[in-house]
Amino acid sequence: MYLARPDSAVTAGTVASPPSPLHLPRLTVRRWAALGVLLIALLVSVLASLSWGSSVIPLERVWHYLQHPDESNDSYIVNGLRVTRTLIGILVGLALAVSGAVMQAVTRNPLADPGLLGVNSGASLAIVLGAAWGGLTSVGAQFALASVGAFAAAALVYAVGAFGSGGASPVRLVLAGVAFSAAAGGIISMILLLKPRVFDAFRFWDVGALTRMDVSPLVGAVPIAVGLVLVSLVARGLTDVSLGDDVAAALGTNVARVRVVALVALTLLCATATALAGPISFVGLMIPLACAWFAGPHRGWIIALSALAGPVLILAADVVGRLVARPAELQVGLLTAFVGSPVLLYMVFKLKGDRR
Amino acid sequence: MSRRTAAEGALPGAGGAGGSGAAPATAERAPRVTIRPAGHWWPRLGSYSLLLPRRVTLVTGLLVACCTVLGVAALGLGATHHGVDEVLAALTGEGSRATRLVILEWRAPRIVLALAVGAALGLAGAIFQSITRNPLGSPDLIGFTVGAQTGILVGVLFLGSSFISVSLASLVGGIAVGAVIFALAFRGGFGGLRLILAGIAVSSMLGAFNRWMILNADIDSAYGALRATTGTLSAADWSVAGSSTLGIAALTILLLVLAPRLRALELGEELAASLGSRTKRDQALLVILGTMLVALATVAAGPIAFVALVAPHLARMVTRAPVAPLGASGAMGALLLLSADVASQTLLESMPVGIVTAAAGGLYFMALLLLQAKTRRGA
Repeated sequence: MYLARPDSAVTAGTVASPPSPLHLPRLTVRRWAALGVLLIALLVSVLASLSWGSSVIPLERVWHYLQHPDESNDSYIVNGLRVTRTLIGILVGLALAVSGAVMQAVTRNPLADPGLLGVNSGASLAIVLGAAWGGLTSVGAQFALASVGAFAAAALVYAVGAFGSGGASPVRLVLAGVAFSAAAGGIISMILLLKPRVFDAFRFWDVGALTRMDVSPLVGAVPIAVGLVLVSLVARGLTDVSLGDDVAAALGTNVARVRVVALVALTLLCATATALAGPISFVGLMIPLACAWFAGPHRGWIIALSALAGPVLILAADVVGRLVARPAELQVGLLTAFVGSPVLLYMVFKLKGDRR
Repeated sequence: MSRRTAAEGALPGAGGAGGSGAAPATAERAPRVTIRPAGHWWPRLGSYSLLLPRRVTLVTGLLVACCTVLGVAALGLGATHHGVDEVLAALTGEGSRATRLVILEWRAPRIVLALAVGAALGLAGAIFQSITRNPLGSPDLIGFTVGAQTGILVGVLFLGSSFISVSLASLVGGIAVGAVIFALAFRGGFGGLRLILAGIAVSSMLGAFNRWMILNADIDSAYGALRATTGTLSAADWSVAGSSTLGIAALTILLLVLAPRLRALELGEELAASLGSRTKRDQALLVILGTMLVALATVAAGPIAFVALVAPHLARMVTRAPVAPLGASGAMGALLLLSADVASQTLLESMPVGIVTAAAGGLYFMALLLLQAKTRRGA
């Protein structure tokens, strides 16, 4: 019932027979090299995010303003706008990529992505409902609504997808997510047509962007930190669980506990990210897949690399979005959806044979 | 073998051709023995015969009757209420001029259009579900609806919005996106899931594009575009309703001629090929036919979600047939769309019918997944 996973085949081989002496160092070298490259890339993208935009501020000026904020326009741009934006980008990218990596392990499903699983629609639905009948349009209220909606949607979709024998099969989860998104989308447009004012607020929420929050990004940092701690507690068990429940149990892993903790953690992460930035899809899909290619089957390494690569992708997409449409902006959620869909297509073509 | 008989029998006038031609010759020699297929009606006229599964035929007839009753009732519903006697009087050319205007010129075309569009969507859904051999293969999931919406948004926001340009834009968008997805998913036949997942991928890409267009328009045109991208029957007059109904009827007749090929394809490509089907050509023909049905429906009413998915399902459930029967799916689609339209007009402040179907259809879809899981667990 599971889609072919290139890395699980490798792992099975590693478990059955000791790896060849040549193989192990090469993989280790690859992991550390990827880690180094990603660290540099993260640094570069943070600097780019601080410096580039509708007005380009040279790096030495950025450095200067960071240390000595003054009343000038550029100082406000750096300290007031771009620092917040960059911090949110890092948090969101980190949370989405890690939650994708965890979700792919727990569901043993390379197609798992928080966005595909209805989290975005749930958050949107909650925001529209709140705005239409509670008059809740402030940023803080939207944050709370989105968190609740995202949580509820993730729980519902997972329950529907996992209901039945054999746990949550990959395709059923995706389909449950699509079904939920469709239902939520219908209800959302129903409300929007009735209330044009809600529509005007909603269309800006509906594209994921890093510029929404005018409250401190620290609001999001706390739940994300909790989520990361939970993930690190079960990272070891996740590698085992991604081999299958039976193997994991044989290796001494408490499968049920790992699964519950991981689900709570990943929902916390992606719900917070969605609440911070709005719907951003495909980051949780693309990043862990790419990282698995470097890290091999070790879930801890995949998670660690994803935690670095996610912010890089989000910040890069954000900077590109600022530059291509200058002086306007292309929101980061639009860019990731545009780049991410081909990756999903690629996965589809890797499906072997005529699966029905 | 019995399946093959059923497949051939579903075609009116096919009984005389091919292998069945031997039957009269045997009948001359031996005393006439009539073998009645169990659970079927078998009306014959000379060398022509028709094999009608009893339950499916009964249910289809019942659905058509429901459509008629609801249609007549709907003629009386609206801003001004008219009793059945007034409606019947207006239909026979009597009653006051005002009543006749409301009923015959305003409400009747809308109801006819609802029935025709619903039938087209139901039929198209049945075709796609049979070809992908997957109960989820519907025009919605394979990108047609999103494509049509993209076309409309481009049309409204960049090209100006007359009715013609909007319908044309939705048609072009839908067909183009459908073609791209088919091309991506086609690998010597449509493995059902590949088509659906490719549809999801392309849809989410276009969804991002749509959101971008809505975001960058000013609020008035954005709101207008939002209204334009939801299917509605409120623009119906006799010129629209008449021409689309004729077109849909023509396509339906063509589809009935091709129905036996669809029945063969349902058995799977290998079996269909060994029964003498040219599977690739048949698949292509039926996909084109299904796409044209959806396209006509979209031109007439805009993107209407989920009727094409839900109607064949419900039809299969009530007929208890192994695959969605064409006639019942069409009738079910007509009934669903008409009821959704009546409900939206009387209960939901004239909400565009496309939104009603989207919300209800999504919920139905989730319930369906739950039910499927339940039966699987029981099995």
